[in-house]
Amino acid sequence: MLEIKNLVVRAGNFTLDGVNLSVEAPGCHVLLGPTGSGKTVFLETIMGLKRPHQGEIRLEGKDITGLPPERRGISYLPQDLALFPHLTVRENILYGLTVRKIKQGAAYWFAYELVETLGIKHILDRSTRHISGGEKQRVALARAIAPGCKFLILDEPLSALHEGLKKELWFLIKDLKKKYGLAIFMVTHDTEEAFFLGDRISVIIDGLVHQTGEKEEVYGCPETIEVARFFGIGNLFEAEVMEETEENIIAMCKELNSKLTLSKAAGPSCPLRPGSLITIGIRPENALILRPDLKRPEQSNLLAGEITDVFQKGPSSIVLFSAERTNRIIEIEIPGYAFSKLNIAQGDSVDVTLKSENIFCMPR
Amino acid sequence: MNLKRLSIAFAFLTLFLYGGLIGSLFYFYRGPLFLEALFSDRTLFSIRLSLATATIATIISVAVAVPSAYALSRFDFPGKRFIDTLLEFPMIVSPAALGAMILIFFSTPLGEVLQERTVQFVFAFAGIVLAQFVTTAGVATRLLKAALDETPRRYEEVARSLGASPFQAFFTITLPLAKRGIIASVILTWAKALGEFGATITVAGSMAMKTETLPIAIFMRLSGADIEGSAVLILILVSIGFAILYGTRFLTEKTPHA
Repeated sequence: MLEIKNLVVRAGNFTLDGVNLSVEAPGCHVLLGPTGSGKTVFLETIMGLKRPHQGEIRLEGKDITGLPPERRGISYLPQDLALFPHLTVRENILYGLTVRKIKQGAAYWFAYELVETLGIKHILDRSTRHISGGEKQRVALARAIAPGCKFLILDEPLSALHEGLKKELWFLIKDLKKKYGLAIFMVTHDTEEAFFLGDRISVIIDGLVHQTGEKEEVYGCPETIEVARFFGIGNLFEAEVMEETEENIIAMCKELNSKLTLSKAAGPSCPLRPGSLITIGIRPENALILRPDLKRPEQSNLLAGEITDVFQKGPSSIVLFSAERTNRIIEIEIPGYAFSKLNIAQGDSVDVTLKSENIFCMPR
Repeated sequence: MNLKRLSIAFAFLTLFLYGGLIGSLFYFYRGPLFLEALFSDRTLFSIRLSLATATIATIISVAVAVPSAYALSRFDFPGKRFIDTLLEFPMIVSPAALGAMILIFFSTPLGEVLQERTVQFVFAFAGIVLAQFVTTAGVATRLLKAALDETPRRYEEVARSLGASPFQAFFTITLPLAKRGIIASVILTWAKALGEFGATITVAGSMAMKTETLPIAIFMRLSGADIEGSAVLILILVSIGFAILYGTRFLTEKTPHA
């Protein structure tokens, strides 16, 4: 297990503030954040290239905060892969063993098993300059795992690849993680990649970790407005708590001109009292347009209104909805097949429901 | 006249300038005299002395410059900017002044003790090497730093994460990757040492068959109004110079950059 406790790093004007994270093998912890949020500074600190101002890094219980990179046992895969251009594929993969003067034995054969698993046996004697982009990624992965390192740091290694190859490597990384029991620490700005590869996710913005949790939790319930905005959720509304029952919170949302029921499970961890001001939000795919022929469920947060615009977006459609007597727009994402069944167009009057368990809320 | 033609004309002006100077040497070319001057003991001694001192001075310069260039390229430390600026010192100070400073140093109590305890520098072989080393060390460091700056640090970081010590990462990754830049730096340092005149003559004098390097020999022959002899020696220097420049181009441009 790799644990980071209360890590503070200062680099120029930039400060990474009090980071607490951990990753267990096998597992993948993704640090998700926009460019310039401090992800690389954080990785360099875990690697041992930067000294933290404060805090502790522990690997399998051992304090490694002051150790140089070569004694940490954490392999690093940078964005540009940094395959050694003057060495062949074989020399690259065996580099970690060569510097440890291992020329035979189980560790050596493990490297060759890895080569078989990754399907790169046929390019072993080639120069790294003359192999394809996908092969380069595989060689870099083999080189990182070959010395027997269980801990891997990936710095957006797939960002330069086209969609098809990227997805192929997503599956490969998942596979390697399971097969060799790897603990992966990865940084990316790609939300889709983060939710596909990560078991746990931390969202970092401007040097501050805003939220850490299981991926479903982070996906469904952003804890801060910054996180929600980073995920591209525009459906954020101000509301005031009216009353609290055992399971639900009833809040008045003036912006939507409606009283809404929120499930407590999706609420903030801090206690809410009547009168508390909160921000509520819902992902576009969780706002549902009700088919006119279907009977309306009694308890849902029903909003009557009008469709103001419709956009086609590949596999899904974006519908903009304005509730009656309000000027706020709710963005609704509908899968292609559902959209064709609904048979709706701009100007139609429809009912929209915001399911209480899908509304997340955060203190203002 | 457009910009293209104008600029090309200036490029050719450079050719005529240097080509004309080299060409004028042949006006004084006298076949038998050329061979006689070339194979005279004095000339052969100068050639050997120049090659030997330039090679030794280059080895010492590079041995000092590689680690210091690495430090300047990779690390931040107090005094870094000052040292970096100081590298140009031998270039802004006249070589004669540099030589004079070496002489003055050996007149200080520390310099005297150093000469007594180690080797004789003033008016000696070691003095030539020292003068060449002092004039080239800064340039060698500057050139090597440029070569190391071009080698991304990322490679070393990956090597370290794979278990390589800083020394292993330097010798197995950084040095081979900067190889071409390093070779070019070594050759240019050697060329500069070979052509060094001002500091050498100030420190080591111009004793025939003792401290007379090729550039000094040219100066001495010219002082004695021996134009033919000077022309021969200059042609030797020019030939070595061209061989060096072409060698550098060949070694540095042969393969595309990694």
